[in-house]
Amino acid sequence: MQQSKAQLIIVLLFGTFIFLLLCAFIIILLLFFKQRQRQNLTEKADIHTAYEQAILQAQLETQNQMLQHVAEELHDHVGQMLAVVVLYLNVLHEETSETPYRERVAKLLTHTTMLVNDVRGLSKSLSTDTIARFGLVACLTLEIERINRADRAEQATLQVLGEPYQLGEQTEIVLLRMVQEALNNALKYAYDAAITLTLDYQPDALMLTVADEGPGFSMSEVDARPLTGSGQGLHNLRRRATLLGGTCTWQTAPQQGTRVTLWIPRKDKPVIDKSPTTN
Amino acid sequence: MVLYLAYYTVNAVAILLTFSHWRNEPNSLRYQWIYLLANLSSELYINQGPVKVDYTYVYNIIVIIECIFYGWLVGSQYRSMYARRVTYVSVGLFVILGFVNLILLNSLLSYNYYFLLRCFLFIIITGWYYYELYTSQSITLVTSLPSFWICSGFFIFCMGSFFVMGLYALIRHEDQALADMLYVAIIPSLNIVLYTSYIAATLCNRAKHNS
Repeated sequence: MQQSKAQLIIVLLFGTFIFLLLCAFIIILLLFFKQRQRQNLTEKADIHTAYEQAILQAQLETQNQMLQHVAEELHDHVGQMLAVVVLYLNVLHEETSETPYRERVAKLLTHTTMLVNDVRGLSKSLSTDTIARFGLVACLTLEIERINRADRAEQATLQVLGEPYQLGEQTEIVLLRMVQEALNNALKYAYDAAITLTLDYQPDALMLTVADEGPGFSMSEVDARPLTGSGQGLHNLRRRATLLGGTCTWQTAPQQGTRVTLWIPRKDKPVIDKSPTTN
Repeated sequence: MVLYLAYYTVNAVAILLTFSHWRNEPNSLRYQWIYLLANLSSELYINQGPVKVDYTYVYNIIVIIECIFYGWLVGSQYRSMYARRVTYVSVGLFVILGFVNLILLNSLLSYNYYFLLRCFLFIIITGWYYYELYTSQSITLVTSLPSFWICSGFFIFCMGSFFVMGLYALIRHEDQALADMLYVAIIPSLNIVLYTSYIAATLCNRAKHNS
């Protein structure tokens, strides 16, 4: 009787122990697996981000090189040719001062001089050297002046809040291109409506806002557009902002204008590394 | 006695924590304090009551309440709607069976079978929860999920008490002292593990809200 009791206790305790062991094994296995899976997924996401960043960097470098080339051509070739034209027009203006063509030549001279200024402004706007030498605020000021000059009206205004600081050359080049794209969108869709560009230098981030008082648009309508009718502008802006570690948001509705807000965190070193990658 | 005291303390702490954080919890977790309170009240009622009285009906009621709350908690965590439906239907059937047992049978032996069935049901639904967790592509830290802690607590409790509680009536029939000795040695310890899991679940959820 005592022996059977002892056996019963042993069987019960052993059975319970085995069950608990199995239980612990299942839970520990699950924990290890999930930890490994989490690690793998995080690594995969990091690789994907690095890959996206490398692609963006390559795209930006190509774009910058192309724009730099166009800027140099505008400055060195078109600009020089226009300067020669202005020179000849000045001579012609002198020579025709006593003739009925005088006024027409004067108008031609004025328009050509304006064209020279526009080409110079465009050249500076496209050149990446400008941002390296003068910084983001100066480049954006130039951009606003260019818009106003082209429009012959004070359509665009720039507001700078806080104390400006450097975000790194590469980051500022990306930001300049993003703002140019946002301004171009505003000019394209807002027609003659007022455009306000605000740079808010906060202690930990730069908040850039491009607001227009144009007709606005419906986000759901844009999202529902078919492939042939959909632009890449909004998507590109968001992607670039994400890769700079920031965000890009829109506030818009039909007849209520559009506000594009870029939020870029302040970092000690540039987000996009220019150093060559090793294979 | 020390084990029982520790068990009641852990249960009381779990009630206080889950109740004080009930606003931060999702619905399935929000009302778990009711189950914890019902459990502690019943344990104290049995412990303080006369020794000769048969308290099987209290245990039967508690198992039904436990099943409702646990089934709700686990079912709400499932991604698969089919598994969720099956769980809710199983829990519903189990509750009906519980009432039948409570009203018509209410014996220690029938309670034991009912308890075994409950352990089996809990192991199956927890197993499915683990399977969904295993196949999930989410990068959320498993230990930051309150449901993971509670499910693990129930899993350990059900696996550990399967033999002792399942065979309790039979052993008691042969040797009451032995049955009581095994019960006192194992069940309070498993209960401590179970209610500690509620504390861990509440604390990890609080940490998540604070971060």
